Amino acid sequence: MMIKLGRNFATKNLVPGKSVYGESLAKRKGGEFRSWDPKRSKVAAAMMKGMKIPLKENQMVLYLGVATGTTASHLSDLLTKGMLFGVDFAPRVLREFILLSEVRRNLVPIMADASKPQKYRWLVPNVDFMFQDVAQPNQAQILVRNAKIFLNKGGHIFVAVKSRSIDVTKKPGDVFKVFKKEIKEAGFTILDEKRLEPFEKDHLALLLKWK
Amino acid sequence: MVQLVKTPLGFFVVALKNQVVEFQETMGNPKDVATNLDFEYKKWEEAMRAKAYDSEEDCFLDPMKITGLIGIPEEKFLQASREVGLAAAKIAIKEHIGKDYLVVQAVGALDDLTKAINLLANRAMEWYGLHYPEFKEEDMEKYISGLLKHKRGISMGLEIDDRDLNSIRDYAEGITLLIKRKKLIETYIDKLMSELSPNVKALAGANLGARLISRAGSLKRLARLPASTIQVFGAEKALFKHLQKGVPPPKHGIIFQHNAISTAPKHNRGKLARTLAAKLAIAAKIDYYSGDFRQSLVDDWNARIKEVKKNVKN
Repeated sequence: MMIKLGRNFATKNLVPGKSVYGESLAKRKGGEFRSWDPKRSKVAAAMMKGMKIPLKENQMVLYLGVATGTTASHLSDLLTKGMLFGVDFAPRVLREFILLSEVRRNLVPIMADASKPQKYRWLVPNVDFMFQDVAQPNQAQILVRNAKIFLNKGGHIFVAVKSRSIDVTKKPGDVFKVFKKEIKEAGFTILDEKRLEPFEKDHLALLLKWK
Repeated sequence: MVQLVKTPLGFFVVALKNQVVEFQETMGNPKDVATNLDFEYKKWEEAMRAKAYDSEEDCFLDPMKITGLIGIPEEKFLQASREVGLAAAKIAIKEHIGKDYLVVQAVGALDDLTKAINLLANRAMEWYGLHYPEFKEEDMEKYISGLLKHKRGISMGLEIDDRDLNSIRDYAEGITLLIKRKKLIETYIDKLMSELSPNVKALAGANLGARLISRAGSLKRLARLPASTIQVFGAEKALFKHLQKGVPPPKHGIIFQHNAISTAPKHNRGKLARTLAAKLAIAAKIDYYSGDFRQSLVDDWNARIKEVKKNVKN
């Protein structure tokens, strides 16, 4: 369940009393809610810019580039009957996500390179929603490869594209154009797109639908 | 044609049209399962080699669907996936971190201490300077030890009593502890580098070598970097300016700290930086993958220094 808490969105805390990354907690009708900081989470930033995320409580989710799990913790709040599989290859950040997964029953940590989905296929069933925040030059390729294997027909994807991670020498607008073209050619429909200023610089958030 | 499917609940041999031919349940607690999985998988692969099958590399069947074929409910699969996944991730973290990460943190601690000592010593200078402005010492560490030992001579400074003076001396004493701590960490880094990365240490010295590992993040990553990246480590600002605006590229980053480069005439620094970076790239690879010391690397480097020295600007 999600409500507005002041300016920010907030999700109903799956583990009442615990704050994950220092976000504020507030009691409201229906329970305790965690404020979803748009400066820390690109999903929250995209929602603040008006994007609607069609995530349902019983869905399976694959999150590429889960990092410490700031965003994933809020998705975990929303997925009361679902499961989220979080992939990251940086041990320093995954360490935090493992600790988070131990207290949240719908999270599964996976230390792997997202460009090698065959390494974690054995753990992950087909999913309805994918999130990608990997900041890699070949992130479109990674996205397509994973979607082909994991994403159900009609499934959704949220992608955050950081132009500086793809090519620092080109203008953000040009990088985004190339990225979108690549994504469309692979068979995705772009449902919505939002630039993430002022929360993030040179970032584009896309909501995609798979075939 | 059959496929071998690994799942957190066990191994499946699946024929076309999703027919389960064989199933072996994994045994034990999640940690044991996660530990033995790769080994078990290899055993299965071995056994399957005779038959035509698709390996892990190209088998992308949904593991939850496969376990469902023999009547395992989705909840049970998800529970197993979470438990085994958690255990596997913990194992991966443990395996990933080696002693080179100690070097990274020690270098960080050294830098923090240096910063702290400078900051605190500056305050001590200002403070004691009120009382004894004639006492001067450029080197901060010497100033602090002098402050603790010296008796004041004739001075234009403020007259203070013992209480005031003791306050200053207590404060300076704290700084000397930090200076001692800094020296201990330097020796510690030196020893760590001898054990972990003897070739890099021989070329660059313990301090610079440790800094390179720290920059790369780990010895493994340093070993996988191209020499050109090592050459401009620490000169990222200049490098991106070069890439974006086309100004000349930087010749050296932190490897400039190497004596042979910083003392060379300007027109030779680029050549030396290039060679040193190339040798360091090789050294890191030897250190990470084999670990033995190779004198030839240092000899090559010294020969190159001599060769470049002959190159006098016309």
